[in-house]
Amino acid sequence: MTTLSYRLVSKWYGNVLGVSQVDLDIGPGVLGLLGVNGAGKSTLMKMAAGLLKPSLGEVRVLGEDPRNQASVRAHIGYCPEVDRFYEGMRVESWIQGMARYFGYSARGAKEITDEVLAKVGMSENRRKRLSECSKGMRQRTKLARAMLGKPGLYLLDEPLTGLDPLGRHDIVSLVRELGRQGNSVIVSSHVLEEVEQMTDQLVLIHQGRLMARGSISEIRDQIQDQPRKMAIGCEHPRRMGRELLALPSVEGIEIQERGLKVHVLEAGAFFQALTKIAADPIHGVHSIVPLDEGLDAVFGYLVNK
Amino acid sequence: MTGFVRTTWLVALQSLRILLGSKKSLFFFGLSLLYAGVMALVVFRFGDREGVNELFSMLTLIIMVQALMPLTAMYLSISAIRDEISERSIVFLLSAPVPRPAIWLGKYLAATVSSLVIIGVGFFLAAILSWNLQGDLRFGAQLQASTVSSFGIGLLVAPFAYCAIGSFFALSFKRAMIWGAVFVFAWESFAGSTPAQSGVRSATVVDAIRSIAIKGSVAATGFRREMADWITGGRLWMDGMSPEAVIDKMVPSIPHSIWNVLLTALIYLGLALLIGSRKDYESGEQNG
Repeated sequence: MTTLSYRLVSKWYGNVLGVSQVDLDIGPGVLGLLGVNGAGKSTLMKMAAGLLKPSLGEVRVLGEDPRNQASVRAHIGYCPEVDRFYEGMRVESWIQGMARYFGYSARGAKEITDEVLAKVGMSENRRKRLSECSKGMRQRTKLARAMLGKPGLYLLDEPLTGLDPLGRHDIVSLVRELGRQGNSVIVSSHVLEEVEQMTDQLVLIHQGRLMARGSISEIRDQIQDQPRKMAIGCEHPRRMGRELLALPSVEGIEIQERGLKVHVLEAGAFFQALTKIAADPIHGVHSIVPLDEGLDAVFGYLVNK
Repeated sequence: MTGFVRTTWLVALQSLRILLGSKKSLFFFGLSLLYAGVMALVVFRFGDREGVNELFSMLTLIIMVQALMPLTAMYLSISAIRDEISERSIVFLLSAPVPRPAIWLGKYLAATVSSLVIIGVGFFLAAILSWNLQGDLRFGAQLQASTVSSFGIGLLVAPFAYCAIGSFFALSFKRAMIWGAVFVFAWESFAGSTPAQSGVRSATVVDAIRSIAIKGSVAATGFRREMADWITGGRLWMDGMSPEAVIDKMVPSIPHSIWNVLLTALIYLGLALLIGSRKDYESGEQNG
């Protein structure tokens, strides 16, 4: 079931391209939206939240246009990266006031406020003025606001920013729980480890373009033909290095004390040849470790592709 | 429709609380009270010689109608919308299930009510003080209800137009405050004071408010004589016309002036809502 769909969506800010030709369907579960600052993550989220209209293409939430259909925005829990509120208000008053916009009566707004503040761990600080709240508390307050409509789609823009380790742990658990409950949760970040904690399903975006989508291993498979690095532990690195250098799939080697690092040009051909070479006991191969299976390396490859 | 009215009401209430609790409102409250103080002082000092109705009319025209009301309404209406857009806290409202026109209409209503409250307090305080002073000290003619009500009607309808124009600026331009200042000081003050023959004056809000005041304040004969002279560009005595004849002939009726002000409000509000529904107010360029 598709909760959110982007159909060939592009967005310009004057002459600056924010997002280019994004075509994406998003269903239930947690999805990490990964990219460096300025990649287009927030723009994608803002279009889904109905804040921006695409220059080209269309965005649909539950089949409706979130920009023009106010009612569909009741199903969207948007936690923006912006950190400005009505500073003079108390946390609970602000959440209650916001709840009224989601159709709650005065009494209902009070109840839902209690509920969402408890969920994000802000019950004790509910009487604090927003101007007195720490960055982490403000982040939790925004998350509480995002949960007001009991939405099916959560758009969380950098939700872990400013949180202490305990706060991060709480919010990561909360995000996972929301995903388990069948909600569609999109979490953006430029920090790879943050996203990895919440999901292994990723969308990589760079300079407004969708670079890849899938689990981290699926994405790695998509770049099979990209150069890779391997660490091979062996007894006679120089001898093994000579043999490896003779392979056309090897770009270079770095000899180390108890092994060597290999720069591979063509992974498929290299692994075939390596199987034979490593089987020869003369080299004393005791370990083969890929050095670039991490998300960082994958992202680096995709960005430089 | 019920949802639209409900959300407009909610936005208006919240914005009203924020506006009336802000320091800028306090500043305009201060100016409004200052007007009342100046009025009391002038009436106390010169009331016996000039007449209470004349002083009340002239001071209210100069301070309230031509300066404080347009400034207050323009500032508050722009501030109600533009502050949130520039701080980007508007995203919380824009991403809520609230139709965009309801957001802007709610903020317009909040600014209008705030302006009415701020100006209204000073105006009625000035009226009460003037009435009491002339009563106690037996100054000439009493302050008449017609004088107070004619200015009261003018000041009651003026914020609807000024706030609509302010909302239009706020939703159309990044530097809305500059546009607002240019509008008040250049258009309303300058164009609003051009000779009647040019026709430009009748396109200003201040002229309609002034017309209501001139037409209605029948007891302030000295004030009406001055206004008639001003309307004719100083030719009143040369042409041998009476002030009453000039006012009858050249000043539009009160309902006509009220209609002009409300029509201006409707046009600008319509434009503001149209632009506000179509334009993006979240650039999205800051964090990609």
